[in-house]
Amino acid sequence: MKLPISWLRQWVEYDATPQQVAEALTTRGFYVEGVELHGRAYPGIVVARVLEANKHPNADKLKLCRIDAGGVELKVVCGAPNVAAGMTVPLATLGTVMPNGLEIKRAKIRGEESEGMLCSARELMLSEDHSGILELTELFAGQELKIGSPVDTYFPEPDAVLEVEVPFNRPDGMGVLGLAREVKAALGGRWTVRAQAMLAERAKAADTFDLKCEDAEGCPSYFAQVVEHVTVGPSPSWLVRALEAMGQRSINNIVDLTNLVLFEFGQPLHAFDLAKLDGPAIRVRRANAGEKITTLDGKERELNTEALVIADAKKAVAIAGVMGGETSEVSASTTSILLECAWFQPARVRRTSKALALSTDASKRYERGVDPAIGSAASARFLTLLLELCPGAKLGASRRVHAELEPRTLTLRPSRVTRLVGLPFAIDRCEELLRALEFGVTREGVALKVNVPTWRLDCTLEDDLVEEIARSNGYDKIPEAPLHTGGAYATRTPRERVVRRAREAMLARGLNEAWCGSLVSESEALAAAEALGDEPKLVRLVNPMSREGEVLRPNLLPGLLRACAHNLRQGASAVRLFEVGAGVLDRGGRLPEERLMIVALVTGQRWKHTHDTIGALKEGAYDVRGAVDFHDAKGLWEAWLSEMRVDSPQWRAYAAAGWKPGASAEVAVGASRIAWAGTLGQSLLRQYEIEVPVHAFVALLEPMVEAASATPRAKVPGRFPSVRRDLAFFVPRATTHARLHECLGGAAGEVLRSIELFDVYEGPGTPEGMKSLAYALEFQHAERTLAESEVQEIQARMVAAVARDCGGQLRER
Amino acid sequence: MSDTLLAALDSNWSAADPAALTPDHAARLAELEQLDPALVALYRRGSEVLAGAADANALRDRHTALLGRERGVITLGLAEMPKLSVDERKVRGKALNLVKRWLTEVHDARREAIALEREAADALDVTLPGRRGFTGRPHVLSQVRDDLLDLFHGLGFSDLHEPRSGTRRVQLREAQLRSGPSGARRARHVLRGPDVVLRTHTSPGWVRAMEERKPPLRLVFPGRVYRAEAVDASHMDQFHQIDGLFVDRNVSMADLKATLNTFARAIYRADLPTRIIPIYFPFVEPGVQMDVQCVTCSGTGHIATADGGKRCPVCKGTKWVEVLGAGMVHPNVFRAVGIDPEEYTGFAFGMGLERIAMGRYGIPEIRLFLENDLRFLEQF
Ligand SMILES: [Zn+2]
Repeated sequence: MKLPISWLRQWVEYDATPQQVAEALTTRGFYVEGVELHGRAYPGIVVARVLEANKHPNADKLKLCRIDAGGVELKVVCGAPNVAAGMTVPLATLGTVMPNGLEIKRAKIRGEESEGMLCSARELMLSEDHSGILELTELFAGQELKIGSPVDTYFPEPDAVLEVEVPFNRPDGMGVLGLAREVKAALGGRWTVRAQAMLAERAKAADTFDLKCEDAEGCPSYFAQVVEHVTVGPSPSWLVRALEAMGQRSINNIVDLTNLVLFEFGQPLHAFDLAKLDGPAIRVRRANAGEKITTLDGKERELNTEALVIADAKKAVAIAGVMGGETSEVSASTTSILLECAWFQPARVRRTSKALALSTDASKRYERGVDPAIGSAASARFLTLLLELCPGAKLGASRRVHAELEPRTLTLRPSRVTRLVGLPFAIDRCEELLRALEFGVTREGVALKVNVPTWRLDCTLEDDLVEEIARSNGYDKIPEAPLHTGGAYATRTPRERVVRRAREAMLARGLNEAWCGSLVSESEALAAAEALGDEPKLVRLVNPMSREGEVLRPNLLPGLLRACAHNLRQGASAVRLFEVGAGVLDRGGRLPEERLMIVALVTGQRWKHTHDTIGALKEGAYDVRGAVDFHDAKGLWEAWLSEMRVDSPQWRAYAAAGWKPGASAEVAVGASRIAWAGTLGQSLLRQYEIEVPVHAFVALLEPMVEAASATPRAKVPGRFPSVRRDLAFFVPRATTHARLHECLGGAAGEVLRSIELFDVYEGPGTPEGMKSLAYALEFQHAERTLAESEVQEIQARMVAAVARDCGGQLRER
Repeated sequence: MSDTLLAALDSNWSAADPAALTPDHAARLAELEQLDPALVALYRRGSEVLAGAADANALRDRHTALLGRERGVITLGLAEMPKLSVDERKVRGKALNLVKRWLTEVHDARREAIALEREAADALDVTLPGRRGFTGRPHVLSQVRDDLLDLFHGLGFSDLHEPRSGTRRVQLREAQLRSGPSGARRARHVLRGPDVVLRTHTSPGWVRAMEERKPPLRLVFPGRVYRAEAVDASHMDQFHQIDGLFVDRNVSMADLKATLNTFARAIYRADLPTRIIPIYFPFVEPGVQMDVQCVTCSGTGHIATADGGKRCPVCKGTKWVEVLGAGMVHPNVFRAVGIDPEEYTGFAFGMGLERIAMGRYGIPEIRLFLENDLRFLEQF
C-alpha cells in the first residue's frame, strides 16, 4: 500500500518528517519498505518569454533567440523547430543542474554566445516528448504565469510516498484513512477539519431502487444509488496525480473516483452503466452452477455455486467483490450510473477469488475485511466528488440493505498486559493507549471494558488488546529479563547425538558433507530404491513443479549422485561426499515412512596429494597414486562403523540392480541388515552421465541410536603376557576370509585375543585351486601365563578345524 | 722413538689443524714438550691426521693405526717400554697414556663432526608437500545449525524432530488456530492423495509437542520445509528452519526479548544493534519480528560507489535486515492443545538457516546450498 504524505496530511495534523512517519509506522507493525519522491523540483529553471527567434548566422538548424527572463534579457541558441517569438517557455539559467545531471554553462555555439537553455518536456522528465520546446501556457492552462518566476511555483510540490507493508490482519491499513489513524495515534496528531467532515458524512438512501439481497450471509449490506446525467470524460489533473501516486493509471472520471475512494477509505465501490442493467434492478445471489460471465478484463469466466454474483433482472453483471462484468462497464456513452457500495463476506470473496485465480484491488480488501461501517461515508464522498466533477448530474433512485452490526466488547485486565509484556502497565496507561486508537473504553473495577471499533476486525480476544498496548507503547521499551533455567536442563535427543557422531566420523574420513534436495525424478528414485532392495513404493507429489522433483527420495543416493556428477563435470579429480537425512517410502502407514540414514560416495584419487614417483608397478601392487578401489572404500566404511561403536559387523556378498556384480556387500549386525556398500553399477551411473567407478555406502542410523545411547561397561586389560603366532593356511579359492576367520576364532576359544589377516597369496607354491591366507594371532589368558604346550594345543585345534570345515591345511614354512 | 712410531703412519694421509676439535691443542703440545719431548711429533702428527680424516672410513683406518689395540702405535710404544730405564719408563708410560687419551678425544670429536656433516648433507626439502589424505568439511548449513542448537542447548532448550509430512487434518486444525482472518497461505506440496502434505513450516512441531508433553517446555525443532514454488536465486522449494518454544508460568515478552538478543549476540556479533518490531503471524499474539542492523551498509542505508553512492541493495535503504519471527503463543493455540492460557504463557520463534548463513558468510544465492559444488563446500 502506498501512502502519499500529501494525502496523509489532508487527514491528520501532525508534526513530523516523512522519515519520522515511516519510523513510527514501522515500529507499530506497519513495515515501511521505502520512501520515494513522487514528482520533482526544478531549481534554476524559470518562466521566460521568447522575444525574438532569428536564424543562427552560421547554422541552418539553429536559432538565435532573445529571451526575457524577467527583467533580464539573455541570448540563447536553440535547436528546436517550434521556438518562436511570443512563446512562454522554461529556461534553464546558467549553473542549473538538469534532471539528467547535465550542468548548464555559458557556451559559444557556432560563434554565438548562449546564456542558458530552453527546455523540452523530456528534458524536464515530464514525458518522452522531445519534439520541441515546452509551451508553459498550455501546460499550466488557466494559470497566470509570471515571467522570471521559478517554474516550481506552478508545479505541485514533490510528494514523499511511503511504501507500507500492511500486516495481513489489518485490512483497515489498506486505505489512507486506516494508516492515518495509526499515524494519528503514533504521533499524537488530530483529525483535520476536512477529515472530521468526511467521516461525518452519510449517504442517504430512499427505497426507490429495485434491490434484493437474496444471499444475506454473503452480502449483509448493499447500497445502490443511481446518478443521472453524468458526463464520462477525462479526470482533472489533481485526480490523475493522486491516483498516479498510488500507482494507478487514470481511466475516466467515474472509474477514477471509485478508485480514489478505494484508496482513501479502503472501501471498494463499483459503478455500473445503468442503461445496461435490465430492470433496472440488482439481485445479489449465489451463482448458478456453470453460470458464465465476461469480466472487465475481457475474459469469460465460469462460476461455481459458492460464488456470489451481482445480477440485474436477467443476468449476472459482476462477480461480487472481485470484478465487474464487461457488459455493464461505464463507457464514454454512459449517461447514468448505478453506484454499488457493499460489504461481502470475506471468506466467500476469498474462495471465489482463489477459484478464479483472479485477485483485484477490491478482492484483496474484501477478502481480508473492509470496515463494515465505512460504506456510508465512502459513498457520500464519491457522490460529493462526482457532483463536483459533473455539475449537471442528479441523484436518482436508491436503496440500502443493511444488517445491524453487533458491537464487540472485550474485557482487558492490566495485570494480563503486565504479565504478557513483562513490563508494568497501569490501568490509566492502558486506557490512554487504547483511546488513541479510537477504542471505546470504560472502567470496570480493576479491568477495562473495551468497545472495539468497527474497522478492527482483528481484535477478538483480550490478548489482541494486549498487542495493541504493547506495540503502541513500543517494543523497544520492553526490558530484557535475565535468562534463567528454572531448574530445567537441556538434553540432546539420542537421534541428534547419533547424527552428530555419524557426521563427525565421516568428516574424519575425509568426506565433505553435502545437503541435497529431497525431491527427485521418478526414474532416479526407482533406481535408488532398487539398489537397496526396497519395493519401489514411492511417495509422489500431486502437484510437482517439475519432472526433476516429482517424488520424495527413497534414499539419499540420487542427490549425492547428482552432486558427484556436477563436481566431475566441473573437473574435480576426486569426489568424496556424504549426507545424513531421511529416505521416504510408502509402507502402507497413514504417513510415509522416513528412514534416517547416512549415504557416502567416493571416487577418484586415493590421496589428496602425493608426489611419490612410482617405478614399474607389479600387477596387483598398491599404487598410491591410483584411484580408490573397493577395499580403500571398504576401509573407510569399516572405520566409520567402528567409530559408530557397531559391534562385530558381518560383511556378506550382496547383489541387486544398481551395483557392480561381485563388488557389493551388505553389513549385518546379528539378524538385522544395517548397511550396504560397494561399487555402483554402470547402469545406475549412466543415468547421471558418470563414467568413473564410484563406491557407495548406505547405513541406517536408527539401529545405531540405541547402540550409541548404551553405556559400555569397563573391562580391565589382561596383565599376563600374551603369546603371538603367525599362521598361514592353504584353503580352496572359494573360501572367504570371513569363513576361515570364523572357523579359526571358534577353534581357538576365549584365549584368542586378536586375529588379523596380514597376507593373501596365490601363486608359485600354492597347490592347484587353493590360496593362502596368513593370520597374526595373539593369545592371552586372563588369570595366568599361557604355557607353550597350551598354545600348541590350541594351534592343533585350529588346524584340525580348518581341515574339517574349510578343506584347508596349515602352510608349513 | 717418535720417528719409528711415526713411520707406522701413512705419510700420504691428509692432515688438518685439530685446534677446531680440541681448543687446548697448543697447551697439550706444551705440556708434552715438558714431560716427554720425544712424543711431541707423534702426538702432533696423530692428532692432525685424525682431524684430517675426510669420512668415517678414513677415520676408522687412522684410529686403528694410532689406537688399535694390537698394532696401534700407542700399543707399539708401550711394547718398547721394557727397554727403558725405570725412570724413563715412568715418564714414558705417563706420556703415552696422556697421548692415548688426547688422541681418543680428537678421534671422538672428529667422528661426531663427520656424523653431523653427513646428516647435514642428507637434509630433506621440508617445503615439499606431505603425503596428504583428504579432509572433510561440514556443510555450511550444518555449521549454522550446530551453532544454533548448541546455543539453544546452552539456554536450556532440548531438540525435537518431527516428520516432514503431515496429514492435512493437522495442518487444517493449525489453520483454524490462526487468529483473525486466515494467515498467509503457502503453496503446499500435496503427497500421494489429497490427505497428506509436506510441511511448509516447522511450527506444526510445537503444536504436537504441546499436545504430548506437559509444561514447562523448552524445545527447539530443526527441520526441512517445503513450498511449491519455482526455484531462483532467492527462492528454493525446500529450505531449513529452526523453531523454538518456551512455555512456563509467567513467561513474558521480556524473556522473549532476552532470548532473541542472546541469539543475535551469539550468532552475529555481540555489539550488532538489533530491534524488535510488531508483525502479524498466525499462532502468536503479540507477534514480533527481529531485525539486525544491515551489515552490508553498516546501518546507513547507503553504500559508497564510484559515482557517489547508492541505496544499499541488501536492506533496500531501511538500515535493517529481518532475521526471524516470534511472538507469544496464541491463547487459542494453548486451548486447542489443552493448556490453560491463564496458567501458562509462552513464546515461540522461528528462523531460517539459509537466511542466517547468507547474512553471516555473504552468500549471494540460495541455490548454492543444495548444489554441493566442492569449491563452495570447501570454503566453510
Ligand atoms: Zn544495508
